[in-house]
Amino acid sequence: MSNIFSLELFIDSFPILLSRIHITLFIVIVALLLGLVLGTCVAVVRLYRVPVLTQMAIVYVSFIRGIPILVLLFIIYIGLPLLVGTIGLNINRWDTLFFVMIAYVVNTAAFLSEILRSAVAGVEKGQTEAAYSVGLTRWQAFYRIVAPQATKIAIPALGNTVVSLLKDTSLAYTLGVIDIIGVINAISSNTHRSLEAYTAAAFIFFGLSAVMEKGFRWVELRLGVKNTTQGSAQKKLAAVGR
Amino acid sequence: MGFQFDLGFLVYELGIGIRYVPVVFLLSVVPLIIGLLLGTGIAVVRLLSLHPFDKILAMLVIFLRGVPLVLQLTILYLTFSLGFDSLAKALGLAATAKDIPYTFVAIVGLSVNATVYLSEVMRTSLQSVGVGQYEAAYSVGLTTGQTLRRIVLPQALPMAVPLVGSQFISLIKGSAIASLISVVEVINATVYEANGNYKFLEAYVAAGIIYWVLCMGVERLVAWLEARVGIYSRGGVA
Amino acid sequence: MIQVKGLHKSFGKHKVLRGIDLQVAKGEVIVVIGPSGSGKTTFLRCLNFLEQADEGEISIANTCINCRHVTQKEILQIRRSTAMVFQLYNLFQNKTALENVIEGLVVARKVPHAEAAATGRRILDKVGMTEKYDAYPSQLSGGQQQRVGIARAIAVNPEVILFDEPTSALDPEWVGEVLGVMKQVARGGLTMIVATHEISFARDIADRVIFIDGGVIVEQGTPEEVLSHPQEERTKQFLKRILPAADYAI
Repeated sequence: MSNIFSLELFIDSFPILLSRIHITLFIVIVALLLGLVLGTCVAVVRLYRVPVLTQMAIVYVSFIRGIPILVLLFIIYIGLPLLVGTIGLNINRWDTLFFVMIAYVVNTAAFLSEILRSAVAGVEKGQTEAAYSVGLTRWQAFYRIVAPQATKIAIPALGNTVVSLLKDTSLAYTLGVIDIIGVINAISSNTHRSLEAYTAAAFIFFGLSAVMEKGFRWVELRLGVKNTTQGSAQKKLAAVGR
Repeated sequence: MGFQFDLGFLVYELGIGIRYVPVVFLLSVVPLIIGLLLGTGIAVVRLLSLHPFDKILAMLVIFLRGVPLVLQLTILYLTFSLGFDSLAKALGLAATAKDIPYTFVAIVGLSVNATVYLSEVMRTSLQSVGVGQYEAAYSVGLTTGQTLRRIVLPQALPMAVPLVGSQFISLIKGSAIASLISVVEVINATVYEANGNYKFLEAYVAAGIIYWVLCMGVERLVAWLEARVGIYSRGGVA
Repeated sequence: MIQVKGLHKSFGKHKVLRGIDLQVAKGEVIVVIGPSGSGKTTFLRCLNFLEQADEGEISIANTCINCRHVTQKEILQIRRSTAMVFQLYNLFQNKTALENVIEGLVVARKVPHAEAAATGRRILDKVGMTEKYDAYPSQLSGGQQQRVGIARAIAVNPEVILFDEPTSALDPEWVGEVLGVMKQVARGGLTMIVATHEISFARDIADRVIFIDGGVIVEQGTPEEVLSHPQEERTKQFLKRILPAADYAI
């Protein structure tokens, strides 16, 4: 059995893999924040039905949500330098991490925009009407009444998206990023044995996602989000988030 | 330096890629069906609290849910290659049939992935059916099995359908990861064709378009199913 | 033909039933009254094993069962000789009114579909739901749903029908029609045990009224005896609270 799996190698892998955990977390956090910004813009465009931009947004969201991350990674990696090259900028030498980041931001934004859009649509129309009837402006009604309620609706789907993002970063190594998985190629060319390292990586990812899920559950509890019974807004959201 | 995008080559690549769509179906439909069957079974075991299986399965599900698909496939692939000799002897496979086993590994890996997610989907869907339905069924003399089959499961469907559809789409995109363990499918095919002229962008865009179209098709299908399954859950109930 | 001996039931530390003894004759209509938490709902649910009593014996028709050592087969037997009407109706959401009514016949008692459907339609007519054979519960009002619930209970031809506060969840406008249907059922000679707050119903239809409080039967007798001339102090207190003063004075 130790021909196939060596417990010693397994345990020894952990320190090496954990030393790259900051890369993974960096990708997740940056992709989440920037993705939230971009995703909000796209959601706003669609909610307010801005002409022309709305059609572009619809195609963007549909395309990104319909292609595998792997394909997106390579399209950005190969295509972005070519695209940017037309205005004379040469970014071929830029760090791979940059391209990887762009790909994950673009991907996350597409999913987040749908979640945000559904969440806002999920707030009863009566709330906005009541807000207007007591004299609030459009912006006040949105900011003070609709947005807080939409956030509560969106949090569970948001949590799922973050955990999915974490797992999606596992593909960054295909572009050469030395993250938790990328570093395994370095180890295994030494010992020719990578199964133990990959298994260790599996445990690390499980640990990370468990921590994140616990975090989101705590947030949900504090905000008083009802997660167990799914209302129709939640049901649509669950289908939308990956 | 202008940005040259060879549309002609793109179209050619589309033709190449389309020929591998059946592989995508194989890698998504089979795991979906297996996942539904096993996943519903696991959900029922957990729902009815059948000790000790429900606890064991719960732990397995929670663990596997946190492991990325590429790791699941890679680990299976490595375990399989390392154990290939004994496996080949047991199954009587010729050592030369290299491709088929890898697709098999991919299907197994994707099935495990699908089972884990779908067991959660079915569990929450079944839970959403109120306990009053069980009580009424028992009070007219139905057994647990009859109750689940005839009363509870049908009512869990409206909630489950969009989630299962979403999982189908995930599987279609997940099948792309099989390309990393040497399975011959859409991406490998289009990229291979571009080895000669280095037009890799066109290759990946072609692959992307094919997946996009497949996913949109599934979304339409799911929307139609949702409409059909939702007839009796319109309107509220006391 | 229904006999209950020494029924005890606790939920955790909370003892809800502290020894219930009861005998019910065929065709009797028993109305159970009592404050919330008195155990009347639990008592009913113990009779068809939706709750399992900790101690006691239940006999229905010819089946005598010890609650502590009951087998799954015996539970099914009891459930096939009883029927329940629920406070929240609990109609099968994915089945039409007719399908709801015949589900117990076709699936649990293996009655051929055509025969069951004919029975089902006949009973739905009796409860006044002729137009609604193919309606889904989500398309029916509360009163209509409860009438279907009653039809479903009658259809399986049980030894006894258990009614768990059947009108408590209804809008006032529907209460009357459902009570009317229940009176019809009573006049038809079916054995009924009804837990309810509707005192006037008890007066009109009950053969016997039982007052449960604190998990025991405090008092029982004819409606005249219990409602108009209660003997026990607790009964008097309860009735004073829920009856308008004029009624009680009679």
